[in-house]
Amino acid sequence: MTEPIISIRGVSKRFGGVTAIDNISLDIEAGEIFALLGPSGCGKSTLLRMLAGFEHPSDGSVLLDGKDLTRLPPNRRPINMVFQSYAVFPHMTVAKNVAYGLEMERTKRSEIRTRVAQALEQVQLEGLGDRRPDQLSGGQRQRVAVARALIKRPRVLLLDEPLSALDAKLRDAMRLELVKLQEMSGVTFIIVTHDQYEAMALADRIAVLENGCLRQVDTPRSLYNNPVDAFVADFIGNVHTFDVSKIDLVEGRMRVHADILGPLMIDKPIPEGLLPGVQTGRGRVLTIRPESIGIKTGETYVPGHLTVSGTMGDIAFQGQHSVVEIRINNSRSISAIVDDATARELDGLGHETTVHAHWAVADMHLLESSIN
Amino acid sequence: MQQRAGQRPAAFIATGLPGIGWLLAFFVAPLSIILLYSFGENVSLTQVETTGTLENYRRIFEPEILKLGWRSIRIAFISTLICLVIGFPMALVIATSSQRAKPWLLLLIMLPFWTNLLIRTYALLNILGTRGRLNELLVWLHGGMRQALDIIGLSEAGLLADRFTPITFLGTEGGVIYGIVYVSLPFAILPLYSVLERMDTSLLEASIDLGAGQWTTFRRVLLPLALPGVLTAAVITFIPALGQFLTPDLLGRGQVDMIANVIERQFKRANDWPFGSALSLTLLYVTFLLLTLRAFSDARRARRTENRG
Repeated sequence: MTEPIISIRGVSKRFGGVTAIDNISLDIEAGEIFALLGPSGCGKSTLLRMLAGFEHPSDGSVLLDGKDLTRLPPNRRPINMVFQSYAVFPHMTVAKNVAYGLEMERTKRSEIRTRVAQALEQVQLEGLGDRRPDQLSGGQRQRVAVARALIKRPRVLLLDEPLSALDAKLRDAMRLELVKLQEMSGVTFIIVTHDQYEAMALADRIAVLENGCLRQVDTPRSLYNNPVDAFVADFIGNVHTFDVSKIDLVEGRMRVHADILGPLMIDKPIPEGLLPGVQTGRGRVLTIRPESIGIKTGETYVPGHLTVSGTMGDIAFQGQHSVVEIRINNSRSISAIVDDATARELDGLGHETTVHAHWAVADMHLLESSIN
Repeated sequence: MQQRAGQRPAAFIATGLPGIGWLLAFFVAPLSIILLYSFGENVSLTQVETTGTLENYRRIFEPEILKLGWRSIRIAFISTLICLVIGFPMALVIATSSQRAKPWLLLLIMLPFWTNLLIRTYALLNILGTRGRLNELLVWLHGGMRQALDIIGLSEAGLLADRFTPITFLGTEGGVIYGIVYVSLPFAILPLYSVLERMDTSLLEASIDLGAGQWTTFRRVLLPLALPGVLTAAVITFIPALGQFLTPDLLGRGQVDMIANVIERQFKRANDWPFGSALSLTLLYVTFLLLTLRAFSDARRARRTENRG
C-alpha cells in the first residue's frame, strides 16, 4: 500500500451557519486523475480551494505526502491550480504568463527561457509566446493556464471545471490532451466538475459529493455498476427509479414490492437492518438504467426478465442509438436506449401502439433513495 | 447614433437645442468675453478695451507668478499622490467587501459631498488650529508619554520636552494639502473603486497560487490592471486641486496662495480683469492639456485592444 499523495482527514467547512463541507475524509493516490463530482453547491469547489490554500477547513486537516499543510499559504504549497476562468494575466504576453511562476522561484533567466519554450511546446502553443491573451481563443487561453501551472512542476495540479467553458468539439480534443499531459508529466490531477461524462471520461477515480457530504469514491466503472445509493446511480449515468413500498423475506429470499412493478423476487444481498418478516423498505428504490431496457412488440417471454407494457411515445435520434419513450400510464414513462435498427422498426409503429419494455431482474439495484 | 441624428435633423435640433443654448449662453459667451479681456487693457476703473496686447500673457512669466504657479502644481501633485495612496486601499476594501456592505461604504465616502464646502472647511479650521482638536490630542498624548516615562524613571533622560509646543498647521503648505486631500479623496476613490470592482479576483489568486507574495501580486498584477483607474483618479484629483481657491484661502491664512487666489485678487482687489483673464485661461489650457493627454492614452489603449481582437 503506497502512501496517498493527498490525504483529506475529517475536513468540515462552515460559512456562518451553513455547512459547505461535512466531515469528508478522502485519499488521493499519486499519479492518478481524480475527479470531485457533484451538482453545484455540493462543496466540491470549496474542497478544491482548500487544497489550493484559499480556504481553510473549520475542522480536520489536509496532508500532502503525509505532511500537514492545513496552515500553509497558497504560495508555499507545491500545488498549482488551473482556474475555471483560466485567470490568464491579460497585461502579459503568453510567455510572460508562463514564466511568472518560475520568476517567483527566482529561477535563472536562461533556464526560464528554455523551460517556457518546453512548456509551450507541451501544450502545442509553440510560436505563440509573444501573443497577448486577448489574441487567443478560449482553448488556447486554457492551454496557457495549464502550461503556467505545470511549469512549476507541482506535486498536484488542480483543475476547476476544465472543460465546461469549451464547445463540444474542442472539449473532446482537450479531454484527450489533458489525459496525455497527465501521463507525460506524471503529476497528480484533481479535477472539479459537475459533468458526469467529463468525470467518467477523464478520471481514474471519482468522488461523488452531495450537499457537502461524500457519497461514494470509486472508479467510474464501479460507480456505474455498483452505486451506493440512488443519488450516485442517477448522477453517474441515468437511472429509472421505482419506489419500494414493502420488502419481506420468503424462504430467505427478498420479495420487493415496488410501485408499478408488483412483487419481485430479488437475489441481492439483504440490506443491513432488514429483519425477516418485518415490513421495511420505505426509503429504498429499485433502479434500472435505460441502456439495460429492451423493447419488443409481441408478448414473448424472456427468462429472468420482467415486462412492463405501455404505449409508444417519442423517439429521439442520437446517431448510433436512439432514446425511445414508453408511456406506462398518465404520470409515468420509461425511456430505453435502443440501436438504430430497432429504432427504425419502432418508428414505423404509430404513437399509442402497445409495446413491451423488458429488462433482466438481475440488472436492477435495490438502493437507498437519496436522503433529499 | 450619429447616423440616426442625421436622418432626423428636426428631432436632433429639438432635443439638442436646450443644451446647446445653455452652453452658448453660460459657457461659450462668458469664456469669449474672458478671452477678449485677456488681450485688453484697463482704460478706466470699470472699462476694459481689447487692444490685442500680449502684455497680460507676458506678465504670467514674472517670477512671482511663476513661483505661485509652481507652488500650485506642487501642492496639487502632492495632494494627488496622497489621495492615491490613501484612496487605493480604501477602494480595494470597498470593492472586496460583501454586496450588502458596499452601498453603505460608498455612501460614507459620498456623504461629505452633501455638506457645504465652506462649512467643511471651517470645521477643518477648528481641528487644525494652534488650539485646535488635533493639537489638543497631541498635547494629551505628550502628557501621557511623559507620565509613562516618569513611571519607568526616564523622565530626566531628555527624551521628551517638558512642554509640548503646538504645531502650526494653518498658514502652512501642509495644512493646505491636508485640506485638499480631505476634499478630493472621494473623487480619487470612486474611479479606483470602479476599476477594482470589475477586476477578476481569480487573477490575484492565480498570482498567489503561482508563488507570488501579497506585495508582488500588488505590484505585478493588481496595480498594472488598475492603472486606467489610477490615471483617471489622478487627473480627476489633480485638476480641481490645481484650481483650489477656498482651501488655501482659509487654511493657508493668505500665506499659501495658490494660482486661483491670485486670479481672484485680480478680479477683486487689484481690479485687473485683463490679467486675471489671462491667468484664468492659462489655467484652463493646462487643464485641457492634461485631459488631452488622458484621452490620447485612452485612445491608444482602445486601439491596441481593437487590433488584438
